[in-house]
Amino acid sequence: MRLELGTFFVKDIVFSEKTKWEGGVLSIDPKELQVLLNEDRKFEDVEVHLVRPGERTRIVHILDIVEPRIKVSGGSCVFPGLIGPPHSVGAGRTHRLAGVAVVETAEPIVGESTYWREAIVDMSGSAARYSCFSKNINLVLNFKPKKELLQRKTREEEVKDVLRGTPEAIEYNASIRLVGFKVASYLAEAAQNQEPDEVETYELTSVPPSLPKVIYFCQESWAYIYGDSPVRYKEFMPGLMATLIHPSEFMDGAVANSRTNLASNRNVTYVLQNHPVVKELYHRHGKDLNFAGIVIYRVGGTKMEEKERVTSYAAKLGQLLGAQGAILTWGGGGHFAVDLMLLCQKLERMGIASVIISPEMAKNVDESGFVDYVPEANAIVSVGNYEEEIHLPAMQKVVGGSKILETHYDAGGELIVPLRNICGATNRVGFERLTAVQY
Amino acid sequence: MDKIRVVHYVNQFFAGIGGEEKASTAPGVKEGPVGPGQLLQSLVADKGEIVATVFCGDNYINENWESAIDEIVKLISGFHPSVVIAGPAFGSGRHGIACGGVCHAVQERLGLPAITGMYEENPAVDQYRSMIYIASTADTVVGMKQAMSVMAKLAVKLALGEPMGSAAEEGYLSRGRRQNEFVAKTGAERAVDMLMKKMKREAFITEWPLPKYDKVPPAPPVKDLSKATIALVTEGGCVPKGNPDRIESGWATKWAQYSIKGLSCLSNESYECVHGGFDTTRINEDPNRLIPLDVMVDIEKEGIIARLHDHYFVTVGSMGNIRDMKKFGNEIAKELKAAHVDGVILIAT
Repeated sequence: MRLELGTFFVKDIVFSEKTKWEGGVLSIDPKELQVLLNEDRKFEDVEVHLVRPGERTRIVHILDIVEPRIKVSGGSCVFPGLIGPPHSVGAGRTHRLAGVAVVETAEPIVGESTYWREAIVDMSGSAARYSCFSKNINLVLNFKPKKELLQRKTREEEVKDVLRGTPEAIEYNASIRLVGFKVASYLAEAAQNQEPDEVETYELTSVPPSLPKVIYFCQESWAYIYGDSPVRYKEFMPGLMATLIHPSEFMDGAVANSRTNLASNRNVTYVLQNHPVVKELYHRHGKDLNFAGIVIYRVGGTKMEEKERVTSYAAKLGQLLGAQGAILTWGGGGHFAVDLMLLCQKLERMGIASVIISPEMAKNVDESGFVDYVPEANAIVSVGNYEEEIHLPAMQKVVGGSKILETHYDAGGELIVPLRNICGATNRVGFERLTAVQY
Repeated sequence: MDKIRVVHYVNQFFAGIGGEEKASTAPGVKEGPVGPGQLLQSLVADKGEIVATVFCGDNYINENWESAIDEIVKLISGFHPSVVIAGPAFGSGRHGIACGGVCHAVQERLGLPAITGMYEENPAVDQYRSMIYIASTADTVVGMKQAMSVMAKLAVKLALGEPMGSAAEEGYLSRGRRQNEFVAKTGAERAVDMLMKKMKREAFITEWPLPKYDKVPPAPPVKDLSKATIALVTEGGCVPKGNPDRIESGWATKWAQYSIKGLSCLSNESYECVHGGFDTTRINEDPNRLIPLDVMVDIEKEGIIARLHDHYFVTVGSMGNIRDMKKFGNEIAKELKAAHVDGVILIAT
């Protein structure tokens, strides 16, 4: 599987009569864009905002962030299973627009849990450095739901499942994301038949046998994988066995964000498309290691038997691939930590050296920040403590909402928020440059 | 620049009074540096002056804690120091507790910075590490020079009000605080670097050391269930409909107790589950799946237990921070004891 990734560096975005790419500038026809936004008529309105780096603007209530990409050859589409058939991707040629992102924002509707929904990006000021998304030109879509979804229902119809929300809320969130994928693909289409500024080739070529084999174990319990996700099911479906996935499939959007979990940890689609572990292992493939593949797995439910089954299966796949070393990332939360640590323990006991990437959760000085651990987890890269509180300066403009969720503070004002509210700050696959140091 | 005034606290041994036989020596003071204090003075050099050495026998201070600390603090304050250096205590528990106590008291009562030195496994470390700076030392006096070097350097920094770097940079034992910092490489790059070292069996340092939790000995089993009062306690977030006490779905800051007197089960019309960490659909269909009141009522009727306590206790454990949960546990335990409850069914999710 050989993927050529052609990059177009976007200097600016303008609205004009025709959507096109020319001389580093992406022009967007706002009328054509609106047609796309209103296609499935699920929304009362979708506002479009252009937000640039350095502006005194705060974006709030973010759901997903997507990088514009399009298949040129070698597959049906990016985001397979979502905006096109779920056929395998990761080969041929894909074009991407770099320096730009589609950002979906929406107020939560009745039936959505709000206590971890808030996700903020400051485009300037002291908090901008916490999120790489402050460096992109963001095409922010602000979704307004149909009036029926805003009407207060009786208590019985309100949140039954605090974790995932009501079926209407799940459906609404999924619809928003679908529009995000479509818009991202539409924007990249402008550069589909053009010559990129840069082309990188991704291929797992054969390498000297002396190089150690490294497997990436990717815990993604909620993400769309070729359009399939537990958010689509009535109940969480545990015990889906671990399976293999090719690193290039990430680059074509085969794994995409499906759920609005904790903002600082959230693997938005942009991060999955530009997966830092995948890129780093590709980069070093043939140099000092052999990137032998990726094992992707959903967490094994709430029962020990399910966790044992999934983690044993995942570890065995790694062993079959001849793993000598492993990088492990995980989803955050209580049960998910148990699966992560079980897997780490099993790999270590098989003689496979493991390194975990993880955010920390320590609100007070005497807390360890660990939810679960095993003695074998002696090599951990910390991507920061998301309970640390940071100061956000007042902003001139706010896009996406007017009040911070849960606290109801004015979204444009000076704020003190825990880092967990900042989109991507403690990104759990190591996208950012934050860590926590012992004092 | 004026020299920093330093007072050095030591035990009877380092003060040159005597060994174990003099461990009951009451607090006292000598002018200038004494014993290993002279090494300390040479390391502080022209930046500071050890104006006095306050001492106390290791047994005396541990056996007369309040009055000894009072006396020591009084003696120290008489010399108007800018910083207090205690020990180092190395691996010695009694001296460690004494040094820790003196440093803490000096900070709290005189508002002065203080530094001591201990071996990581000194029993006093756990108690004091988050309250004071403890330089990391060897187990025994063999490490005196290294210990004094670190203590001297940090004492000057503290006295001058200079910012302290991380535990690893400065050489003190971690105070349990994790501070976010930006670094040059991404997490993914650092992970692959760390893995390469681990695979080659080269030394590496984890960025997040594993915790060391204390072990809580379990209470002895209930002797006779048929005579016992049992209570139901849960972090599963099942509350009366409307969540009257507004227990949060995550990062809960409160717990509550609700009467179940006269109830034979929990109805889904009157109770709901607000826990944000799992799919609550099943509990909302039938709250007895979380809090098995229906079964407990039967068990009480059959005489298997003498009495089901007429309140249940609830909080939400999702994203709960340990300090708060410990506090809730203590508070709930007090209520349970006051109500003469003999045993608890703790329902975890």
